[in-house]
Amino acid sequence: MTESLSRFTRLAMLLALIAVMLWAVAGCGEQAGEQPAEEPGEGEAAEEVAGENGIVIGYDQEPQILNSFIQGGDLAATSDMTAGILQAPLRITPDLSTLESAYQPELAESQPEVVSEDPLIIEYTLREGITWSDGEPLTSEDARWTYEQIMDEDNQIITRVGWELIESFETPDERTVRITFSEPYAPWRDLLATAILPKHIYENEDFNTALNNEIVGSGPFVLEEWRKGQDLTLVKNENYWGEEPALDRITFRFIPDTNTLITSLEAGEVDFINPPPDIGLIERLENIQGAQVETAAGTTWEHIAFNLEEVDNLQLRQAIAYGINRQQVVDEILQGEVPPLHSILVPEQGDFYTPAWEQYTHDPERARQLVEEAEAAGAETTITFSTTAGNALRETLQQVVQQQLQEVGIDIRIENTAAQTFFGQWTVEGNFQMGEWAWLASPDPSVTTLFSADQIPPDGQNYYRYENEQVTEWLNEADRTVDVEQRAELLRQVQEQMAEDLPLIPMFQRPVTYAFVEGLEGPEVNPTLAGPFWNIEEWSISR
Amino acid sequence: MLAYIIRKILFSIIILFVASFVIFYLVSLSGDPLQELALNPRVSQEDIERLAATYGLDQPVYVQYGIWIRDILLYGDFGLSFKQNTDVNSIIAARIWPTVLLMGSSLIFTLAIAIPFGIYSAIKKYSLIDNIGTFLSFVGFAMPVFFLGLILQLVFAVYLTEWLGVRVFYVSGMSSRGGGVIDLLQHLFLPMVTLSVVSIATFTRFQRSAMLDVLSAEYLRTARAKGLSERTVYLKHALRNALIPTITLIALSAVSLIAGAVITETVFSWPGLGFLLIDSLYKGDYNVARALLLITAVLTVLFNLLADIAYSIVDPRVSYD
Repeated sequence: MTESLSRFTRLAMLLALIAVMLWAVAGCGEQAGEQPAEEPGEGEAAEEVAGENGIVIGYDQEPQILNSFIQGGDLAATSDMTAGILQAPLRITPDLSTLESAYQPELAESQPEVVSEDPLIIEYTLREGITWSDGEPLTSEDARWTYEQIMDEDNQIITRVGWELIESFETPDERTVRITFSEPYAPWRDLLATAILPKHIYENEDFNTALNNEIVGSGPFVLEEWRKGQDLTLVKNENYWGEEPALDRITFRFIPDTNTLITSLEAGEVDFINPPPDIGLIERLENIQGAQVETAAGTTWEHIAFNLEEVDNLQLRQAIAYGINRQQVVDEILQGEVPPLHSILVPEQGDFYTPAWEQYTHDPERARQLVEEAEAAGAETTITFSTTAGNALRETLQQVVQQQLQEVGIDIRIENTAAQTFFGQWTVEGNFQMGEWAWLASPDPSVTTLFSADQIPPDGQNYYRYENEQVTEWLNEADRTVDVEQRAELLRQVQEQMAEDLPLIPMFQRPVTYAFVEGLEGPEVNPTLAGPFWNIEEWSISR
Repeated sequence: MLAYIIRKILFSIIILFVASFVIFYLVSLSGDPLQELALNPRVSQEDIERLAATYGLDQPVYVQYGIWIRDILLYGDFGLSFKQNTDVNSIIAARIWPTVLLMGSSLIFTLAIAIPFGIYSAIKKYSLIDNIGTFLSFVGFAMPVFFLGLILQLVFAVYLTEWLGVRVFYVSGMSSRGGGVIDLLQHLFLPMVTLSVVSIATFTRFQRSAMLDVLSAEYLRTARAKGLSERTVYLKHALRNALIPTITLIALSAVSLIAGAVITETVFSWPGLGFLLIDSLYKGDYNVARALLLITAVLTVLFNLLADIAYSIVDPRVSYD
């Protein structure tokens, strides 16, 4: 009896010990959690961090550095963090229907003027009275200095495409900038959508390091603090030249794991997330109580690519195009959230786009016939299909396509590798037969580096080894054609011809999805690389 | 004896050299970190080549390795991050404290539960509590860490918050801006528990068997024969001896905890070394990844070396030849 009693006592003591430890931690937590509830406005968790008039954004990737011009600054994270800080003469909006609507004046007073088409001369005037966040005036001299940094050999600039064609960068007065190109360059607006940096702050500093951890701009927000590995906070720019933003403070919290990102919204720790597209994502987001979900087709487009040196039989490629049921593919992997894409540009690009691949409707009968013809011509009907391993969306797509093509007599072998190896070696060295990846599209429709015959690696990104002289000529001509109508005509011809040659089959535009708490107003899906925060000064929160 | 130790040290150095080359080579095999830039049509191939030259990536791998290992040995310098334009040393230094905090608290939590429970299970072998403990240990072993993390997040951060109306635990991050110690604990609790579950299972089983060994030892019979109370026998004679193997296990598992934290830190966005390792591999920041892998290798070899030497001193059965 005593024996069993003491056993009992010891067990109780043990359990009590565990209970006390749990309570100690939990109890401390409760006290902290109660404090904000006493303040006016409900005790929303995100509010605890951001203050009453601030928001917390759950963001899936931490930027490496804040300078988007140099190596390491190429991640979307860098441009998203600085979207509220930096400004450019033009800003990219979600309305891609015309170039004027896609690129709207920000620091520029009005749309830039094309003074002459050949030689191409662009002139724009900066707004009156614009200042940096320290109150100093922002002038054409800052624009010129930024250009000089891009061209400076000592700076580890990522890309000088377009900038290299600038023959002279003149600043006739404090507000006017006049750029003369050595040859006509149709995508010139992209250069003007590049941020201007403050000369007076950085002129005596090392451009490769000075803007990595802090950055000064002219936008509605300024950087307050970057806690590495955790979060980055912006606060209202007290000296802002434009209309005062509604939010006082924006904290980006870095949460790379998509599940945790969504749970954080569910738990009320963050107010806004834009998770990467995934199978079943929308459904999961819509089940979160009190969350708004917005989604739209983005300008990053997935496609099936052929290495034309490997899959050189046109009939076989046609068979694949007819054999794949693209509608079924998007239904399976994205619940039909976006329609199949029919070209190498996106419909949002207005006149530049033509649905050239529409002709390839699902037609297994015809596909089987084409396979037979291809076989008779000696083509191999076993094809390896590669993409970046670990991407559920792409890997599911592969399986759906594999099944569909099996029905028409084409045997697909799946062979994937890590993204670094796929883009670092396989595509560059042509070590694939059929591949799947996405291109990022800027609102400007130039695709010359992808499909021109002189861009086959190591010279460019024509991983298809696609050589069509006519297409190459049209592409290069389009880049030199500043007239929008003519340029659109040339690009439509390119799309029609490529749909005939089939170096690739477009699949779909990656959907862009935002989910955010009720009471947050302002987010408007921007499918371009300009990202979700392009209009951050218009966001407001009511709790 | 001295010759034995010197030979062990020499072996360790050779192993580390081989490991350092393997680490360097394997990481560079995973592709060119700059090629992903090419996915942006606005970046030309010349741009990429120009950048490769500034980082020395255009050199053959053995030349890159030579420069890398020379800088580490001579200056303790792990090189430059391709992505952050700063030295790797300062990037890593900033992440040590969160990992130590998480590891340390997890270890204390583990021992506080596992040691009493293991000992109790051994004393009351095959009792109901022991059987439940055994069952839970196997559940703990089998539980995938990421899954456990997700469950804890849902239960303790989402449902509990909804139910109580106040926040007790956080899903992600280490601290709120301007938060104090309590805020830190609120963030720490879930990742700490997640990280502890498997080690609690391991340590409980280990402690139980160590205690069982001791309980059958002759000196306990002697102690009892002297007429000591059961309490004194267990606490003074058995417990102390049963803790010795556990302390060895703690030393050896300290290294494996760094690797074990990778998943937990990622699931909970904990800004430690494991999170940094995954992040740097994902973003192609190879020098950061190499430095972390090399540090893990050095620690592993070092702890093994220390264990070897300690055993050779303590245990006469270990041969010196």
